[in-house]
Amino acid sequence: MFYLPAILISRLARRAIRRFRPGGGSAAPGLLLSKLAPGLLAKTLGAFPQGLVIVTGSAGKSTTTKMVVAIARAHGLEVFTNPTTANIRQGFFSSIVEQSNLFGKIPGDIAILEVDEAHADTLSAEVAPRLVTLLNVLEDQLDRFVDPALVREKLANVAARATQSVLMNADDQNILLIDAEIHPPEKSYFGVSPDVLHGDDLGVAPTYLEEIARPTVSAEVVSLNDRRCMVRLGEREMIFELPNRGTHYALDAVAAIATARELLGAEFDLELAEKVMAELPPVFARGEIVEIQGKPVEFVLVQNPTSFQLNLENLELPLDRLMIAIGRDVHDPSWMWTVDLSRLTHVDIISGYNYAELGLRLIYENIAVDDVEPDLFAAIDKFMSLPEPKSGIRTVVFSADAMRRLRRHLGFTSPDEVQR
Amino acid sequence: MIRLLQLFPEHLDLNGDAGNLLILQRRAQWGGLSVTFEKVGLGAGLPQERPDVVLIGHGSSAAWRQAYPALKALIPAIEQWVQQGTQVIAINSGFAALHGLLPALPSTIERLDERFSNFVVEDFDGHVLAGYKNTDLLLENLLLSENLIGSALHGPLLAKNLWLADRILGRVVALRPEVRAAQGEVDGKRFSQVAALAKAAIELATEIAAN
Repeated sequence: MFYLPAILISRLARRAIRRFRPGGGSAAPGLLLSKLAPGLLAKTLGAFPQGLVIVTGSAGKSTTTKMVVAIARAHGLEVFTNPTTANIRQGFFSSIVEQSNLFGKIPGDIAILEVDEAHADTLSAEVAPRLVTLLNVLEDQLDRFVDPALVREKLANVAARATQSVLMNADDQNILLIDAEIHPPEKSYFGVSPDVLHGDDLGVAPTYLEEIARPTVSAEVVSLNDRRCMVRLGEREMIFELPNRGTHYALDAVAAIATARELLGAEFDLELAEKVMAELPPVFARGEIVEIQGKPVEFVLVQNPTSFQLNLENLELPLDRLMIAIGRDVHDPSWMWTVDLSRLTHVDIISGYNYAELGLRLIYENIAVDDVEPDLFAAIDKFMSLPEPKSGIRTVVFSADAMRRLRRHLGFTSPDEVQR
Repeated sequence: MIRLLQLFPEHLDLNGDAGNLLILQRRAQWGGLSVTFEKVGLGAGLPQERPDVVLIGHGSSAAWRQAYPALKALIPAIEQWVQQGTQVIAINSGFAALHGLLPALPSTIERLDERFSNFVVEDFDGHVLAGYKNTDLLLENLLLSENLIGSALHGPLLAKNLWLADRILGRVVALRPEVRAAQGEVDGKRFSQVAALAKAAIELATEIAAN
């Protein structure tokens, strides 16, 4: 009963905001609820009969979580999960405002959440997770995390609180350092075979320490041909097409399969999981093709140096029509200077809150910038009015904030509103 | 030929600090001057020829465990270069590391009560100094001695501080006028494009720093 007034007030706030801002999400109701009833999160997340699964690490959380959720649901579990990118404390409160009953209870058997590295530390201190999946540690969001060593500390705290098991990426030395530090009593490893990686480290932060030997993995990507992926699980194999191109998606897939198998135990049906993986739609704004003014446009979301780099490497060149917009979500734009942009030769339009730093980065790389349009909506209009590309399709590379604003403006669903 | 040298690129480029040399390289090239940009990894020897500018970037604590002893070993050579006119750009922890290694700098640095992570925009001798700072050390935002440019501001410091980039290049040219011998055409368009963007980036940094 204690939480009822807080939930009611937050719901009313949400309704009022929606009236004035149709179609758009807002963080305010969740923030309000977090202030009014900070203890509610632990109560709500702690109430799922089959517990809580936390997927965390620097990159791939969203894709991996989406895959685990899809497999779990196909096995008949009712799953509560968080909307794409709402992976911080306030985002969870927003989900409660939207989905819980007036007593703060959300229906479902299990919660499977992607959680930001720092928030995973505080959240797991409030509600012990049943499973923890550790993806990787990149040199990312350094304005917040300062040093990869501090991210490792946070992830180690989270992993140490797992009540059933910890699933770890065997191909990230940072994760193996965490393993060596906390020695989880129950654990297993997933990875991408060296034959598939070809020496690519998928952008993980260097540890500058003597290499820890790769442990035996229980789930491994053994081949990857364009999107066709083969995963070996012990004696058995799964073959499916990844929803998007790229080795990092194969890593997400194997992490998800390993997590789902641990979660479902004897109930895990390999054929069913394989079917689910094969039928997954492309991940939101990662190579997603939309239609604007009757013309096809590819949307590419970049969230950190690694995803910028990997997505750039996966773009089909030459790109005749390219717009890049870096928004307000990039607090310290320095990281753009760590991305190797040499594949690009020109950009038609740059935009977004951080357009100036983006422009400096591009021009000092000797990449021609044809037009600078700070206003995102004017920029997309200009971009769409340019002549048709001679090869490929129009491509927009944007950060999460620029993506949200642009999607809302164009009448597409906002990712904040997408429920898995 | 202007010679730029980056030390330990695999270790000391956490925030894109190498961008500072890229900026110098391009500004020199757009000004019609020839440039080489060399990188020396950990364990590799220094080049025989004295570089005009050396960059010591910012690294993680793990990176510094390896990089610090290596940097320490290079200090006599670097000091000799500096005496001959080489300018050293030292960024954030790269600047901090020189404290105790170079006699011109104090040997200790005080620690702040709380880490600072935000943009800084301030006056420096009549110039605007702007950049991003993320440190828990009481490190100067800019130390500008004859041949040492030390800064707590990390990443591409020179992108927003064109006056500083041009001061560095100006000193190279003044010391070695022969680099102008085969000077090519000046690319005025690029200079004006980046000048306008740098101004806009400083305005944005000012707005963020004030909030």
